[in-house]
Amino acid sequence: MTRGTSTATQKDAIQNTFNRAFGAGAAAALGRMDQVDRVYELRCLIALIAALRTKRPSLRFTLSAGSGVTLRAKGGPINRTGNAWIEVSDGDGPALAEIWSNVEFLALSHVYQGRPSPAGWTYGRAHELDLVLVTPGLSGRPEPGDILIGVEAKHRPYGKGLLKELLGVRREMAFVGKPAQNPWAWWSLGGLPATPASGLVAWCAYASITNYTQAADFYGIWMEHLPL
Amino acid sequence: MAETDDDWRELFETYRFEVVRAGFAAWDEAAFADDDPDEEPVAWDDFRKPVFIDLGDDRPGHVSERFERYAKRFVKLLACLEAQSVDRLVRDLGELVRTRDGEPVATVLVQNADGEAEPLGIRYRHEGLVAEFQALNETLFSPGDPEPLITPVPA
Repeated sequence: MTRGTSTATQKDAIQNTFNRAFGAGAAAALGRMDQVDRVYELRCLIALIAALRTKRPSLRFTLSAGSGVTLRAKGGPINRTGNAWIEVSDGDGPALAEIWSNVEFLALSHVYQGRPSPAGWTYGRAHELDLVLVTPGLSGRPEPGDILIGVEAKHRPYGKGLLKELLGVRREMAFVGKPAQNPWAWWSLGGLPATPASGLVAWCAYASITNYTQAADFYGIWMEHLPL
Repeated sequence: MAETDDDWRELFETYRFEVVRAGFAAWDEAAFADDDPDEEPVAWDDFRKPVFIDLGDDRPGHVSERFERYAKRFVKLLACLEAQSVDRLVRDLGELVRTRDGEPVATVLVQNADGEAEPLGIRYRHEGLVAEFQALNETLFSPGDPEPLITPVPA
């Protein structure tokens, strides 16, 4: 077999395998990456709950309504009538916090300029977190002070672009400040260097995230390789 | 098996094009850029076909090594999206989260951009798909040490 024929045969094998797997049409491909992200968000949701329970074993996690968790593909405000959430309580006690998926929070720069909550496109006035642990009873977009822990879930190799995105989100969540206690932040023993003392977690399915953790402690971020 | 770097480059382009066409463009961009952290993401022409401006290394064999890492990662990605992997995650969630009635949470849905709920994960067109991609890799690359497709999740 000549070299050219061999390469052509292998190209055919690649194309045929993909066609058998996914079909030739492009329409079905739309949203496939969204599904990848949602599956990994579920993995991170489990990790978040497990970490909180390890720190405080008496915590109870209860779905607010229905029998299934719904992960939103599109970020937005907290919608208490349209979406279920996970209530966090200590035993039978009242709700201490709530877990929501794909929630936009108001940017620190927006809140400190005293502007009203944005309607329609938020542009730079709000930013999405894949998962949030917030104070209970909120509606709409939480302010930075409402966030107990935010989670960024990345099921793709970690690179400089994702780090810049993470640091930008952190900049709009909290000022760098003197260490303050956040009882939910399982990785923080001496307090988080943040005002407000929110925690930010970046989980990535790829080990390359460990190459980018130099700034994490300084900003009170927990960056970890979390395989799917 | 391909012999020259040009052959490998052509096969890698084909593979990446199919990955993008299958709906994994964001993963492709990150997976390609990650191989060399200082490299800018690949540019795309009007036909959404990868344009390899610079693979960053002229060392012989570099293209094939890079292609192999990319292809193995893609198979791992597919394995993670299999129904059985998703079902395992849902069971894990049910161990931690209960309904108001005290029952384990049994389903996880995705609310798409139109507000409609749909099942989580990708239901592939046929069973054995991941094995088929593994077989493809074996025909493309020299056999090496087998790698686990899914890293076990600690209990």
